[in-house]
Amino acid sequence: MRLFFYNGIGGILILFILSGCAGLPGNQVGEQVAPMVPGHELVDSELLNVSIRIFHPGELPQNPDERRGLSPEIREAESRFAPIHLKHTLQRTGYWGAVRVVPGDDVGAEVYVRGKIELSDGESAVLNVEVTDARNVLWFRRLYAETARSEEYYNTEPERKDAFQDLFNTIANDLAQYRNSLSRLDIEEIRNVAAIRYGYSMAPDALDNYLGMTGDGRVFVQRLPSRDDPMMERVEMVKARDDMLVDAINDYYDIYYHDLWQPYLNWRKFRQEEVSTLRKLERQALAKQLIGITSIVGAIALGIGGNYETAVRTQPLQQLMIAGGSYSLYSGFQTREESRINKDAIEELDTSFSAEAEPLVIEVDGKTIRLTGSAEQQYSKWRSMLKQIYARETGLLPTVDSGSTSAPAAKYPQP
Amino acid sequence: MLKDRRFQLHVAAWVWWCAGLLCCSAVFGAVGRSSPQFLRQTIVTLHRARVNIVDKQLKEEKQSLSREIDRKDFQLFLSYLDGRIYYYCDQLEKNEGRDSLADLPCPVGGDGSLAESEYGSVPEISDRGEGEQVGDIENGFTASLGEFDDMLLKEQEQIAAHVPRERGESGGGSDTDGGGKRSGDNGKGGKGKGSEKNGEKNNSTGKSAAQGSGSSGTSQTGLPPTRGNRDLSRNDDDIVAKQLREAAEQETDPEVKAKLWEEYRKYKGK
Repeated sequence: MRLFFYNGIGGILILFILSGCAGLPGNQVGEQVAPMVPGHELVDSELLNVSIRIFHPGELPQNPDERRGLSPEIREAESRFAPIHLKHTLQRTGYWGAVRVVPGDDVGAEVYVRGKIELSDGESAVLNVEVTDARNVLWFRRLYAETARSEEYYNTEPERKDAFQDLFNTIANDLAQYRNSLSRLDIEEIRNVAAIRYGYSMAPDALDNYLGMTGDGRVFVQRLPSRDDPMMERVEMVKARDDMLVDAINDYYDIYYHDLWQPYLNWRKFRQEEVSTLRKLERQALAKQLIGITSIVGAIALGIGGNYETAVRTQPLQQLMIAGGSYSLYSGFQTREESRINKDAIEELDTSFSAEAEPLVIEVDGKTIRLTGSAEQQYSKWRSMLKQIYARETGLLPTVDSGSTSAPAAKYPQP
Repeated sequence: MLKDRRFQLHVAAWVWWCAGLLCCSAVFGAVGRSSPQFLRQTIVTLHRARVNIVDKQLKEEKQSLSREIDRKDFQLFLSYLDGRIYYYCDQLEKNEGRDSLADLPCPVGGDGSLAESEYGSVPEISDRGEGEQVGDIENGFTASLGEFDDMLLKEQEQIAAHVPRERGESGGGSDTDGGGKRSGDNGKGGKGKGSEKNGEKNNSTGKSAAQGSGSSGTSQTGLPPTRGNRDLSRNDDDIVAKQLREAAEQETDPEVKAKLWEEYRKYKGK
């Protein structure tokens, strides 16, 4: 009886440890999530532009085992890859206007998506996504989690089907769902607020007081510039250039994305395989060791727990249990040794991918910084010119941010 | 109000003109756009065109033939020419030094170097009020937009020249397009309101670009989308094309005439 008791405890312990796979934070997205598409082709006035900011790379796990092989370089690479793939996912739905990835804050964004990588190890991904619109209205802030199935690493296709496509489709569907809840007036207001916000950043004197802000930070239109307001038209000319600049940056992002696609996919696929094998081996090793310990403990218990007669009668069984337990222990240690090879393989894989991804990140960041840097100089010049035009046209002295040609202080800060 | 609208239309035409120059710049880039000879020739040609249209305008002013709207067109075109002359002079000075500006119609200061201020000397046709001053700044603004377009065009050329990375070991299933595809080939939904439904991509021009400026919807190259399709018909000449055509028609120097026609053809997108 006591033997069964001890072995029972051991068995429960084994089951507990073997099933001790930590859950992911946030809600696991569904499987085979189909992207929502509108029932009819949306006309221009129904479309909103989306700006997706490069994601926050998040922090690497504190636990050395969980952190194994992961590097800040890989996270940096992922923080660019994920928004670009989300962009492609959104573009295909038909719900949106221009979808762009932006390197920093986008003052003229109609819909603004920000994200943070909470976890990504090739096998699982958790993204924290926040969506707001130009009015500073929070659409949602959600955690999306997915553990990819091994078959999802196959039949992938750049821009269309990532191993974590369910996660991206779920985000896209949440966006579409919120957008569907907006009225035409809401959409119109978002577009107007975005245009004036951008205009204010370029010509604050001329476009002051068109917007208002409520106590809770919601921006609304107080009055609209006239349809043929020359200053607004000038600002729109600048905005068109700004959009073209971001398009050029997006071209570089897309080059980066396509350059990274295969190595990133390979890294995730092989890593998932290695991690899966490692986990399996470690479980086997643990199970064997626990069985070994349980058997030995059981044999000892049998020897000392029963009366003399029982001890003598079960002596062959005790010896067998000890021998079997010892073998299990040894076998467990052997399996654990095998898993070391997998650990080395994972680290090797990560180092190799890290070395491949890092120069791509540096390259795309370099191009982005160069473009945005030279553009900012140009924008300062345009601000100055618009300020002069406004002053001469109206005879009014500049009142907002006078003397400066840098972007005006955020009168309508994004949340 | 109508005058304002017309003026805005002229500004819009201006943007086209800047874009045209961008296209010219791209072509020149391929044949040595920064060579001193090219720069000198261009400066002289543009100056000649400028002198001719100033003469013509002065004659019309004397004969009271010039309407207000023509004068605005004239100012626009003239300011643009001044801006371009200044631009080429600046390039030449940077490449060859201030001595290279001697004998050229460049706006130089007392020390022989290019003046830092406004583009050249715009002739005073009549008293210049606030409106004209605004026009000058506006012209500078538009010219500056053109230079920015030029920068973007160069960037697009660099992007187009990008060679996709060699594919590594394939482990990613079908991955049909090779993973090295450039964004320029992907329909560029990012520029458009286009969507891809039922597997088809709609490459329509984007709302942002189209609504961003009545004159500057964008194509893949960052240039207005319809430029390449415009024909050489005289009927669709905008103000800049008209001025270029007239300058070319009236030019007597065969070399300069040929150059102006070349500019005209390039502007018209051929």
